[in-house]
Amino acid sequence: MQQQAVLSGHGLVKYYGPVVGLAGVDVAVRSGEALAVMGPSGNGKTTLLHVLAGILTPDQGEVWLAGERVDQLNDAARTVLRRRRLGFVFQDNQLLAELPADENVALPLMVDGVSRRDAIGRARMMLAQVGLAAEAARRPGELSGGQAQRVAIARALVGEPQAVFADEPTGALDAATGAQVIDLLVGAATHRGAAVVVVTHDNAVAARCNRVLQIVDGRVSSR
Amino acid sequence: MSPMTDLGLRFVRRPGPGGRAANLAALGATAVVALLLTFLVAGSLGLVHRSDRIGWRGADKADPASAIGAIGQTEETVDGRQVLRIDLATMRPNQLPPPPGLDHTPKPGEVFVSPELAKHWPGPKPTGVISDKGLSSPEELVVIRGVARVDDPQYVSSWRDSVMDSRMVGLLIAVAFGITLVLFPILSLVGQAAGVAAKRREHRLAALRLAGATRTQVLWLSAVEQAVVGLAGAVVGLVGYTVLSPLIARIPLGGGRWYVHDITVSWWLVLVVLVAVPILSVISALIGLGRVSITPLGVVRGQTRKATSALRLGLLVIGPVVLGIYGMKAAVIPLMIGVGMAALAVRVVGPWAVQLIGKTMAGLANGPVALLAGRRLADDPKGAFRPVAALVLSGFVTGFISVFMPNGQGQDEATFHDLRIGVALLLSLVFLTVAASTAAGAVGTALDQAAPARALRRSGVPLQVIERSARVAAVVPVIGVGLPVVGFGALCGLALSGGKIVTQGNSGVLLLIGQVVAGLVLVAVAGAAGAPVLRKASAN
Repeated sequence: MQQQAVLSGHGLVKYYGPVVGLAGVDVAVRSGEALAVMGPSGNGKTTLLHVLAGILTPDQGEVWLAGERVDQLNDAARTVLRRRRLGFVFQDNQLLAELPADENVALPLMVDGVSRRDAIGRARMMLAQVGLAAEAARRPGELSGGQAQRVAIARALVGEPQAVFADEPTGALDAATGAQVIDLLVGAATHRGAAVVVVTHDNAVAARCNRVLQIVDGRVSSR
Repeated sequence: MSPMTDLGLRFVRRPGPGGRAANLAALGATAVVALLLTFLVAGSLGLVHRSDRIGWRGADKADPASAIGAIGQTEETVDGRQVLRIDLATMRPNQLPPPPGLDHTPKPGEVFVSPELAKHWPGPKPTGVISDKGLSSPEELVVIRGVARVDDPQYVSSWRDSVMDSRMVGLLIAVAFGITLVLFPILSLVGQAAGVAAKRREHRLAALRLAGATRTQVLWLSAVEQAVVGLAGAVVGLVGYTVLSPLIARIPLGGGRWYVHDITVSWWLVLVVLVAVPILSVISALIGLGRVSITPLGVVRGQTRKATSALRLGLLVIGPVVLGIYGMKAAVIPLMIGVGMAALAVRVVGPWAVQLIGKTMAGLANGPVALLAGRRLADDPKGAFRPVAALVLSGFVTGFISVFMPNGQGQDEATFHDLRIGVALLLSLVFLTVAASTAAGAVGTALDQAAPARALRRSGVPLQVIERSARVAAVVPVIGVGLPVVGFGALCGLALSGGKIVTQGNSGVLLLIGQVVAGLVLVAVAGAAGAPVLRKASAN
């Protein structure tokens, strides 16, 4: 399966002490495909996202990204992998309040050794693509919730990731703004050939993805 | 109990995520403030107690007709040690109590010695030993000899005279200067201690405001929380001071070590500390929370703060001018005003300079560490300067004092000794303040940065990048502002001395180098207090 899918997990099991987070999940996402992960709260959606993204390591099972076994990498290697090959969008954007939008987007590139000039240049291009060219010098506190989330999307995509993970990316937005944001995220990421995994409670968000995975009690209940 | 008081106490008991670390940091910093305040007041009172016991020895040039005794003082050497000999001829031995520390008034030929001198007394057994009621220090080497008459006498009108000798007067003036110079660092620390806990509350209180709580209710709730933390800190500080008293008593200032009872806190000082420290910390917290209670949305959304004005630079002129006008001959009060104004100028100009440095640094940065640190400094220069304000002000103190460091040769050795110990003590106090302030600031910053740091770590940004930027943001104000301030301190010292450098030898240079090195090491070490908090708070 890993030959076709850019991102996959096989037999994923994760425990939190005696509590079962994941109880044997299989999942695969192809390049340019968006997968919505749904299910009741506390049933393993975010755990699955964290395991696939290399933030958590599974107790059993395997995670593959573009032919590379992720779960066996050490912490430093997984950190580099997340920085260079993955992108993240969080519910409350988690931008750095001190930095203007362009520097927030440029930061992951600069951490990776790209010069400031090049990083800012690429960040501004990315901001233009998400419709925020005029807001590049503004700080997160001076942007609307939807604009701040678009900055977060620009930050997630600026490194040309192979997979993008979004945890309730529209959870803090109204329905109309949320729809714009998810369209932008899925459209921009899949257009670049990235696999997208979106954890959501929102059926409208799920409807904009190619497939939906239902997780209940740490297991896949329907695909 | 009002609902807000109840809620405030509940928040102290259950402070929420990160709240416990913030409260502990605030409590620790407040305890240091209480300890320092107690030390300064109890130490000053100790000097007075010490002086009162031996005040009669200074004589008061009383009218011989009404005098109760005549004395003559001589320095002599006994068993290789410098000893003070006091010849005492009492005028009305049967009508008055004996001098302090003696069990009876010495008759001609009787000799009383201090306990330390008794160990080395070479002559026949002395008549008696002077008790601590008649000595300035347990190490004092003094002999009181009863004589029939004194050559070239000075007359005493009372055993309880409070005439201070010149050394004590010098020490008290030095203490007054010292208090003026460490006042701002201590007040900064109070603000820092209150600020750490207050920052944790900002969002909670802003949410309460958004939910309909009035400005007064929000401020009252904060006051209750901060008062509890301040009171706990005051108790810890007082206990700490009491535990450390035997060690403090070993500081050989003003004529030797101290009797512990000289520096023991009285009940009223305990009361003052228990009331003053919580009040100070409540006031600091409320000032810090003004923003929340007035514009709750502003804090929740993290809008740009107003830039600090360059007009602050004008303050730098006042201190040197006042000191230059009054010079060395001035009374103590104008000099203290001059030094105080200069220290205030440093406190006010510091954040402006930090903002300038931050903007420049962020503008020139080519890597993430310098960019993050620069933006952090430019975004909140007051917050960035507060933890290091004490250290920067200590640079001012050092620069100031470095102009007045004699080398002890050809000058009064006792004065030189006191000055040297006093400078060491003063810098120790400031460094203690700085350590507490920096550590509290580092914990506060770590808690502030926890959520975005967690997001950055998940996105593959190494924790080291975030930690290094925090360290750089802590050290840069010390170097960028602290070093020029050392020069400003020296300028104020020169203004006071009329351009004359009193310092001889290399003691001033050694003092300056020691200050800079110790300060940087201190900030680096104390700043590390934030690392485990950041690591834990930003963990996956």
